[in-house]
Formats: sequence, C-alpha cells, structure tokens
Amino acid sequence: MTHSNLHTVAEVSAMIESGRILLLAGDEALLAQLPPGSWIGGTTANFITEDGGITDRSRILVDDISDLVEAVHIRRYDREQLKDLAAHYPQNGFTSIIIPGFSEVHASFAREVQSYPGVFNSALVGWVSGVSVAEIGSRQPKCFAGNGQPIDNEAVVMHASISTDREVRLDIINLFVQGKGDAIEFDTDGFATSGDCRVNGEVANFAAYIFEKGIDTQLPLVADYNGAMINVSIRAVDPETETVEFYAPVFAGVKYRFAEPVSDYNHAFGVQMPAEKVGTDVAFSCNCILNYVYAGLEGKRTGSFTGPVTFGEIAYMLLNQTLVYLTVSPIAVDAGPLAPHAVESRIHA
Amino acid sequence: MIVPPVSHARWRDVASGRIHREWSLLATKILVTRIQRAVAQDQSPATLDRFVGEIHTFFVKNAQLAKADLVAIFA
Repeated sequence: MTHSNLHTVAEVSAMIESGRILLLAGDEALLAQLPPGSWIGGTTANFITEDGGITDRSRILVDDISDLVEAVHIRRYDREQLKDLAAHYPQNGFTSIIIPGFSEVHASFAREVQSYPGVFNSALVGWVSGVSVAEIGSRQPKCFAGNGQPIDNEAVVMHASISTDREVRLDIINLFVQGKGDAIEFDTDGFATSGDCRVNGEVANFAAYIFEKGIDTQLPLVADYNGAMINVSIRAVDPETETVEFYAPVFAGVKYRFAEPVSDYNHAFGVQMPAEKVGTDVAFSCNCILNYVYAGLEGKRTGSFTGPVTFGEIAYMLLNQTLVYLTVSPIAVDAGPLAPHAVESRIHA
Repeated sequence: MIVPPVSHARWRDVASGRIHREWSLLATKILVTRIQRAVAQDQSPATLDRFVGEIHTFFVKNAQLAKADLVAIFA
C-alpha cells in the first residue's frame, strides 16, 4: 500500500528534484513553492492519514507512485479539451485527474464525463480540489500541473503507464445504501432543480417534499447503478424559492432514494473495507469533505485508507460522500472457471 | 481472451437493458447504466448501434479486468 504521508515543502521539493513521481495535496501557498517535476497537486486543508483525519496547512500530503508506474505524461485540459481525455489514456495504466472546485470545468465534467468518448476504457481516478470549510466562497480551490503555477479553470491530469504484468482496479466504498423510502426522479440533468420531480411517479416539488418528510439533508440521494451505489449530496434547500442544489448533478431517468442513516462511520468503514485490500496494493485513495464534516472524522481513522479530503471524488464520474481507491497489482495467474478458454467455450456453446 | 464480435446479439441485449444485472466491475456498472438510460430515451437503431459499439470497445479494451462481466453476458 502506498500510504499518504505529510511532508514539508523542503522534503517534497527534494523528492521532486530526485525524480520521484508524486500525487500531492495541500495548501496553495505550499504547492506554489514546489519546483518543476513529475507531479500534480490540488488544494485542500484536510487529510486522512494513518493517524486519522487531520487539518494541516504547514505540510503537503504525498502519494509517491514512482515504484508503481513506468512513465507519466502530465497535461492540462480546459472544458472543451476534456472531452478528448480518453484519447490520451495509457495503453495499460491509469489516469489521475484533479479538477478545481467550483470552476466551470468542474461543472461541465460532472455533467458530461459519462459521454466523453472512451472514458470508461481505462481507470480514471481523482478528486475535486477544495479549501477549508471556513474559506468556502472567499478562496478559490486550485490545482497544479507539475510546477508552482496555480490553476483555477482547467483540469490537471497525469496519465500513468504501468508494466504489462500489472493491472489497475478502481473501486469505491460507499457507506450509504438506498433507504426503503420513496423513489425520486428528475426530468432534467443538473446541479440544481427548480423543485420539479416525481415521487413514486407522482409530480411533486422536491424542496417541499424534503420539508414535509423532515428529511435529514446530510443523507445523500442514492441511485443504484447496476450494483454501484452512487450518491448525490444535498447542498442547499431554499424554502422560499422551493429550489434544491446538489454537490453533483442528478440525471434524468435515474431513480433515487434517500440513504439509510449511518450511525457509526468508523465502524461502517471497518465493515465495508475489503479485507483483502488492507495492507496490499492501494496506490491512491481519497474521501469526501462531507463525510469528514458530518461524521466528525478529524482525529479518527477510516481503516487503513489515507489520502486527501476532497470536494468531490472521481471514479470515472463525479461522486459525493464516497471513498475512492485505486489498486495496482500483479496480474493474477488465472486457472479458474473464468479463464479465457472457459469464456470462449461458453460463448460458442 | 477473445471477445465476441460486435454483431453478436448479446451486446444489443446489454445496451437495450434486456440483460439487466449487478455487474462486477465498477466501470461496467456505470457505463451500462448510462447506456441503458440513454437507450431508454432514444431507441432508434442508430443510437442502439452506437452504444453497442461503445460497449463492445469497452470489453475489447478491458477483456481481462472485465472477464467476470463478459462471462455473465455470454453465459
């Protein structure tokens, strides 16, 4: 496992100058001091370390992936260029992306990424940069593409090639599952709704529904993507205009339900964490600022996963209140029932 | 691993939602959900053909990682 560790600017600078390949997270003032090299970074004030959740503005969180990758290519993409992201995917490897929070590219990525040509053809992992919660609205999240120049309107990307004897897996841990309540659908895609929705097929106002039902808006809406529980978190509910804002877009044609409450986040992480992943091949992971705040994760551990606390997690698409992790492992020798010859025989049977 | 050709009818069953299941790989889960949602809104042959091609390309490029889902489609 590539544990994320906090380091000073001097320590990180030395790593970069020695040729290490790094995924970084920290305060803008720290990242802006770093020398050119094989690194990308994003701003955040909060981290999950081996000792638990921490707020730290004097150090940078480092994921050193040098020993996992053969080569990397760092690029910047504006919102139009992002549509061609997959054209630059490595033949075998993964792509790490950091998007500045509250930017146009953040919004367009969230709405459109599932339609980018070929976007699912290789692992796309990353996060949306942020600031401390107290600075939301007064300070712009940034990202960095291999040098100290802060970027607030483009995504930064590291395309990483790995050796052919290794494989990449990208997955999520979501503590939330769909509750047994009403099914909610929206007619249009977007980060906000004028309130129009359908509840169990009946036309309704979503804001009014939330108030009437006394919904705890710290619970996300959850959709079942053929076995993957995908959250959309509630950002604001305006009782006067009866509008609702989200931290990720809702999509027309998707059936959402509010999540079952989670009483003990730390216990739930321990239960959901795949035991075989602990202490093995996790190259990168990140967790959501909403989990951090709502669950009070400062000072608390979330299993053995470490990484930045983010304003949105990316596993092919923008996620909310979800832990994302990427593993790089030796390709297992496969002699079981899923071996290639078995597939062929079933197909042609 | 040999992936069946794009003309195989099972690919259309996946795109159209006739094969509907919990997939194994996260990418398959999200991709197929997005495609089945899009096809539900536009069932024209051209749309279906486009998404069948997208699913097929995905499995060609991820034949090893997605083999459990591949087996599930053609079992």
